[in-house]
Amino acid sequence: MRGRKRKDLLGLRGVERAEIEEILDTAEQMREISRRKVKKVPTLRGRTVVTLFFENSTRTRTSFDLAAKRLSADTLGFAVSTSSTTKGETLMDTARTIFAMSPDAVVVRHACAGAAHLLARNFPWTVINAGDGINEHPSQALLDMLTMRDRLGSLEGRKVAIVGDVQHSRVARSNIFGLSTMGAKVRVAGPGTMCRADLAALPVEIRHTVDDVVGDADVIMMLRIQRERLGRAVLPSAREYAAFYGLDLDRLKRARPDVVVMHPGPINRGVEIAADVADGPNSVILDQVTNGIAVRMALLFLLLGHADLGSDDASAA
Amino acid sequence: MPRLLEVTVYGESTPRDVVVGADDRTIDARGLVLLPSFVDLGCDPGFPGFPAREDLASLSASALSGGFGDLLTSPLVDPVVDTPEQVAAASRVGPGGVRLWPAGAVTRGLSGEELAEIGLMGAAGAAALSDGGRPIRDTVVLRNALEYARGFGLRVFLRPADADLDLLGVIHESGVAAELGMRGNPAAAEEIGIARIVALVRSTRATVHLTRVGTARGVAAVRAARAEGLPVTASTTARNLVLDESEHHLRPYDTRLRLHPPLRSPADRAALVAGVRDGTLLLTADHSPRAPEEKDLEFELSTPGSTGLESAFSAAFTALDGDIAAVVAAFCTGPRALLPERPGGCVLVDLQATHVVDAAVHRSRARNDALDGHRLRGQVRACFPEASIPWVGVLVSRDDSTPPHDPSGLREAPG
Repeated sequence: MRGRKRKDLLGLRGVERAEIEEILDTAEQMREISRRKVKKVPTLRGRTVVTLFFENSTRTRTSFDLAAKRLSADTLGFAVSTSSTTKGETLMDTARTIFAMSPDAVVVRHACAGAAHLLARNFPWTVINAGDGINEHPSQALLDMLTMRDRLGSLEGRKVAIVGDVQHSRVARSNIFGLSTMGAKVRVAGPGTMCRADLAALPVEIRHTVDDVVGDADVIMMLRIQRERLGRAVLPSAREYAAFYGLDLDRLKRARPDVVVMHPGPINRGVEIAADVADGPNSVILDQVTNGIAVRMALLFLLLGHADLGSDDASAA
Repeated sequence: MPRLLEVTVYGESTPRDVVVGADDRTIDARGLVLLPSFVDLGCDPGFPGFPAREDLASLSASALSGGFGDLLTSPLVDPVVDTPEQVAAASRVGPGGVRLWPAGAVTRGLSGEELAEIGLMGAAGAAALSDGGRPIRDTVVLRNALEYARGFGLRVFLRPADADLDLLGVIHESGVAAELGMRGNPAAAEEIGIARIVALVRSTRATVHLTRVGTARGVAAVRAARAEGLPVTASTTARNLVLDESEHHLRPYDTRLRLHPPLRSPADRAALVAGVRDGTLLLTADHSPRAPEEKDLEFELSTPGSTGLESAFSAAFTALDGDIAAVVAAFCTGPRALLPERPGGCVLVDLQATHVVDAAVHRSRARNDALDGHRLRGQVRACFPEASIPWVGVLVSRDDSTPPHDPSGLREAPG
């Protein structure tokens, strides 16, 4: 990343293995900063990071915000409700306003695929895609991969099961691209309306029952079911989804005893994942949150191009 | 009178001098070919109602630049063309003699619910009927419209699409959509649309033209309907012969490629080329000018459509690998036979030239040509919409319901 001077991170499709490894290795160093008493280094002092969110988000936005602050960047949050953009200012106009504030990096989330690409094409600052429609959410996949690496060591040859609405999940898609690049084998399962045949173009195996994918999986990643899809022509009901695709203790017993259970959050307890599984020993859901900050620190650090990590009084790094 | 010196008239072997119009220019036309001017059966004029898209002057200039003398205009403007008064107002001749042939609405307000005044619009000069590419969702309304239009001898232009599936997605549903994380529109939308219309044509015997056909199965269904003798003609767009969904890989999220229906697969594109070659399909420029503010947006939010008049001929000539007879059948003789009167008009083309499409220098007010940046063969040099055709032969008028199989459309005049 440092060598190639990548300007933006728009997705993991096409990102090479060495680059992903560099991000994950850097994130491990960043995690060390978060364990210090003074959780802050001066690396990005004087730089400005804007979070531009056109969709509601608490976790991702605060995670990027905290990551930037731990690197001493100034942060500025732009939350634009989607309703106001449909009739009012366009994405490009909002971006022009932000441009006038001279940011160094913009973290953007938007309901349309390619929104981050549009900004990256038209503006000189670094763009980090924090979710564009159903396309990609690369920082989430990177934090997932860091979490898996913590538990499993190498990702090479590991079997990862992704269960749920793969068709419309940017988390799943970024994980599929990233994990396959890292040598893992990804299998997906979900109802037919959420795992259509055209997913075969991605580096995945498509199965339709959960038991087909959990049996020998090293990792089971449960996707969030969006409530608005329930009771529509996509899914009959929450209880039917839970019965066939949810991860409960019974289903977990059919998996390897040391299987790693993940979920990008926020969780619908009792729908895609049972409470005792989410809170049980296989779950790494809270580790994912911690790693999220580290991965986002690594991304800002690498993309904004500083080689000096610095140190605080409590450690002599 | 403009004189073309030593021009090769299409269908003739020896160059000669030809007089084609009303000014005093003399054009050295050595090495150039004179064809019948082109007809766009799928023109969104962009006016009235959208001043940032186009006006009569810019549309006419764009048409002349692309070799088009006659445009069948969509009723989907503001206000929509669904009354005889609107039809009369939309029947125009632009600067340079470009003629606009208005299509009147099939249903009032293009709403797909009540029939527009089809008979009165026909009497006011409607060249055809169309709902501007919007599918008519209610099959009873569609059947009634076909039965009613047949009584007035008006051809109904329909874009075949299942009204519900048509709303899905923004690019073709396939592996490309899956890779790019874009919502897909299934080919089944068109296949169902064609099957539905063909079934109704079979029972009503109404004369129908299917527009913007884009799938291999769609072409096969049209071919089968015509072989059955049904009064069905169909067209695809010239750009669809050059572009397919793989273009999205090269230019991801480029809103100039936001088209509706979307670009389909490479196999579909090959089937469209074959369909034009065997006379199953005619071609349109599918001119759809859009303002910058309609395209400078997220892909999903941008307005579908591409300009076409200024790249259509070269796109067709390139994709048909220099088969000029197929281009003439698909853009000149075939479409002319679908208009109520046979237009004249000539176009001077250079079949040896190649050029890179540059929308920045197009005469259209809009800049949204999906083919921008593509190197194409063949270039239009001049267009004379009002010239009488200087052929020794004449353009043969065909029975509208028969396939445009004569590739040249040109025959020796009797006597």
